Amino acid sequence: MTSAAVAVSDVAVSRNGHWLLQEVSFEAAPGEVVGIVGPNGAGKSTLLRVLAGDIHPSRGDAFLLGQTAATLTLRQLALIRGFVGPQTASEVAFLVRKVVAMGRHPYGDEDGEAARQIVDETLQRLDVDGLAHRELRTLSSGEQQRVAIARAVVQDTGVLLLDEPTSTLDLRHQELVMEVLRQLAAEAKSVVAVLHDLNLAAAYADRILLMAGGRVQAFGTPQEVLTSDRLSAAYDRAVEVMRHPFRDCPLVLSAG
Amino acid sequence: MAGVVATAEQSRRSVVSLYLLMGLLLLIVTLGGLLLGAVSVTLADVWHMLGVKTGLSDRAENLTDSVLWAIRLPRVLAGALVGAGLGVAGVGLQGTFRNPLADPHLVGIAPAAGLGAIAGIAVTPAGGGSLLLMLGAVVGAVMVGLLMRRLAANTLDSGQLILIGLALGLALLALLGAVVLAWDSPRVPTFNFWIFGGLSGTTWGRLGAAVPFVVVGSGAVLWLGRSLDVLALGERDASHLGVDVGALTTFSLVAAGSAIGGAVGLAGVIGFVGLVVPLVLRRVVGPGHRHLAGVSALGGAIALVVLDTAARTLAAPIEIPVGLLTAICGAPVLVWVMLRRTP
Repeated sequence: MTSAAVAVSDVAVSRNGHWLLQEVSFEAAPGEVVGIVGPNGAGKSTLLRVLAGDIHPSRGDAFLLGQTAATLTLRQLALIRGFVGPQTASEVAFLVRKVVAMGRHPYGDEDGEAARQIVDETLQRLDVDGLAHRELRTLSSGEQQRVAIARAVVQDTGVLLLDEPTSTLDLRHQELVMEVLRQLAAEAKSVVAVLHDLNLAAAYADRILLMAGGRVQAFGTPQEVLTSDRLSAAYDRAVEVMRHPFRDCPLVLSAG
Repeated sequence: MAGVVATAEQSRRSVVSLYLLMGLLLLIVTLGGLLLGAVSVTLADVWHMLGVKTGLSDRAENLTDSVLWAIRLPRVLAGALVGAGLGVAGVGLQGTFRNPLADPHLVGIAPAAGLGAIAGIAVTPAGGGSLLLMLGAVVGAVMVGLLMRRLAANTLDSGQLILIGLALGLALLALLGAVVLAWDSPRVPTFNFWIFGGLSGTTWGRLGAAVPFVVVGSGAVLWLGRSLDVLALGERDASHLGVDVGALTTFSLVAAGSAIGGAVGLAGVIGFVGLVVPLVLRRVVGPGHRHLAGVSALGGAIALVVLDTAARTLAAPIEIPVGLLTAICGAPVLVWVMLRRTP
């Protein structure tokens, strides 16, 4: 048991005799944004799904708000953590507003006044209020991704898990989404996001978990983790890290 | 924000208006079904029959009262019940399989209900009621529904599911035909009844046996509407929103199977109602399963009462199997809706 909002303790996941994760441990406190970074196949999404309760670890435990994720019911999980998966094109014919309001399903108050208020606020917050009365399937992939994030925000959970939440977003909306995640952290929520953009992770994450080969390579502040040596080794490519000219964080450049 | 609230209020009002309009239409076609037929009947006759049968009138029962009470009223009510049940079950199946073409007939569930009904007849003692027939139909429908769910989990796309369902349904119909022909008993309705459906000979007893299955099954589909909405996002997203997808789909198939079993036990296999009615009404009320199921109940009831009335009056004294009319009317509508579907 731990007081951290999110805690992973010596987690290992094996599938068909292949270890997807080994000896993974980290914690995220309430009010903290943790970015998980690493090359393809590092085990980032698997780790996020362990946290979401989708995958039960072969060894170790994942804790959400002090409770073991693997022992919680689906509804209990839905009241504790929101999850935004990797973006895929949706053919759903529901209106955007209705889709976002589905985030209230675990509470059963989709049509209530409180739900209406949080839905309206979140639509504006993620700049999808102008799309509220469009069918989800008519939106671009980037717009659909913001709607998926809005739905998870409306779920109003203490922990928010996101798998590549900015993968289809333009520059402005990448920054917008990351700013929203920071605001949520400021509301004492714990945010854990898999990010491929190391500079977004550097700019917005309090701490970064660098993974490779299913193992944790480093965990700490962006300045501690995003070093040229560590990143070059993890990505098997020459990477340079310098001070960001405008932000108080590292700037990562591919030097290949 | 005020605009959003106003839009939601307008939407609520338009749905309520639609319910009222369809309810009124159902009342009108039900009255039409009572008035039209071989024996000439007036509104006054209907009123008189209701008075006599409810004890509010002390006038003597006449021949018209008997025709209305024993033949026409149970038949018209059966049409409404079967149409409503098939409409709601269609919505339930479409939501469960996340496939707008899922239909009691196309996924093989209705033929399975027919086969189950015959099994129910086989175990009913001579002179027994219709309860075992209905139970058999429900069990057959639920079993094939659950089998189709297993198969759906392994199929690549919605087209494959329908093809598998069609193949299974045709095989079950062939088996049903073989059983009916081999048994050749007056206790078993003819093969025509099972493949084209029919409401002639509906009795109060058989109608009463079907009502609980159709009503409870349809009510359960309506109750599950919100969760089926969330399931439309995909199984993983639904699961992340707290929906137990396995339990939901099982319960939904049992509910739809109950409604289909009751409908098939009462009227045989009637195609297109469970497919076309929700497809058309989806364009009016949108994809939300609760309202779609509600208006599909009314729409299915209206469609089947109208078509059954046409079936027994268009070529009187010959009766056209109602399934022929649902196919003749439903097929062009289906083609039209599919061609106009938003890509």
